[in-house]
Amino acid sequence: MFANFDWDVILRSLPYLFLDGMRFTIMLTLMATGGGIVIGTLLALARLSNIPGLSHVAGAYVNLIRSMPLVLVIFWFYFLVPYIGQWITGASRPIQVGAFLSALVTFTLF
Amino acid sequence: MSYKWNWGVFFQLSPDGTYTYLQLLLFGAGWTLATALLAWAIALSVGTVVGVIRTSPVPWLVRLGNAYVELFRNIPLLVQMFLWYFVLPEVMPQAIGDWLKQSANASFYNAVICLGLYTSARVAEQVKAGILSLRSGQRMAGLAMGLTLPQTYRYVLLPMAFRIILPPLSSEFLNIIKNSSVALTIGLIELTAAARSMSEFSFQVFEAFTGATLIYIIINIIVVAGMRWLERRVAVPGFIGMSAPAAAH
Repeated sequence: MFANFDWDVILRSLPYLFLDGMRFTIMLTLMATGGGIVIGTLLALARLSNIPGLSHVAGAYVNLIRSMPLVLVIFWFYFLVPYIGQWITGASRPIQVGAFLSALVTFTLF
Repeated sequence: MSYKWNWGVFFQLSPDGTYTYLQLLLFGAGWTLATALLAWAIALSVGTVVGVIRTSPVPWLVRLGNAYVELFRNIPLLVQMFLWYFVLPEVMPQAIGDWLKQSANASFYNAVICLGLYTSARVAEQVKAGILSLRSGQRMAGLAMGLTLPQTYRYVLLPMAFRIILPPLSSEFLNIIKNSSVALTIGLIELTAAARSMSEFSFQVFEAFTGATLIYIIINIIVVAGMRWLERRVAVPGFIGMSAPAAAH
């Protein structure tokens, strides 16, 4: 059953796996974590603030993002970004994952 | 913004000719719920067993349970889906592999098993934490009363442990509903996939995803309300407050 397995292919694609794939994963993780902590802390402060409305907006945002599957969030931003890009440039990947992490950070703080 | 909004798209007929787009989304929600519920049944039963053996006094059982949890928690869910769906039929004997590949709802069963086992590792972690958060005197008392070890778990430890871990378990249940969306990568048309195909057929991207988002939120609200009700229902007066210091243990 393992007869038609070609383990050599792993060796041949090691540079690709480790250089490209792993670099991308680690970069994205670091950037998203950094963005998530910053945005999440701001969100947490917003939720704790006394300014009317602000805490509700932050809470609604957190509930919205938390109740969506990650795949759906990715789709949302994937399709939204071109349209946002018409107004401002620079809305990119870290923000979308940052939303998730920020929700997580917010709820960790609570 | 050059986007043409058309909220009426939900009531238009989809390309399959029989159902509207809204019905398509609702079918997707049905698959999402079916996957999540079946996987939750697996997760809860397997997770409880693994969680219990990780607190058992038998060292090799503890190590086995730990290995299980580490294995399933350290591999991304997406990779696990691919392993179950693409790799498993290949490493099985020819006949079983072919049967796996040809069965009609293969992606559904694969998604259920994969999601169930993945979540079971997380449930096991919480069951273990719940049991450890009980004072060790409870186990000793149970054994001293002449209960066997399984009886102690069944009548003394687990009922209290489950009450303590009910909040994390309910968020785990919400997670399993959301994680079922990963099954779209192996071809299961659940809610997210339905929204995606709707957006591709109708070009109304934002309407489709808004619809899916709303359905997810509604499901979430219902689950949260149900879990709150359950929490109140099974609460032991005075116990949860009392257990807070014991949780540090």
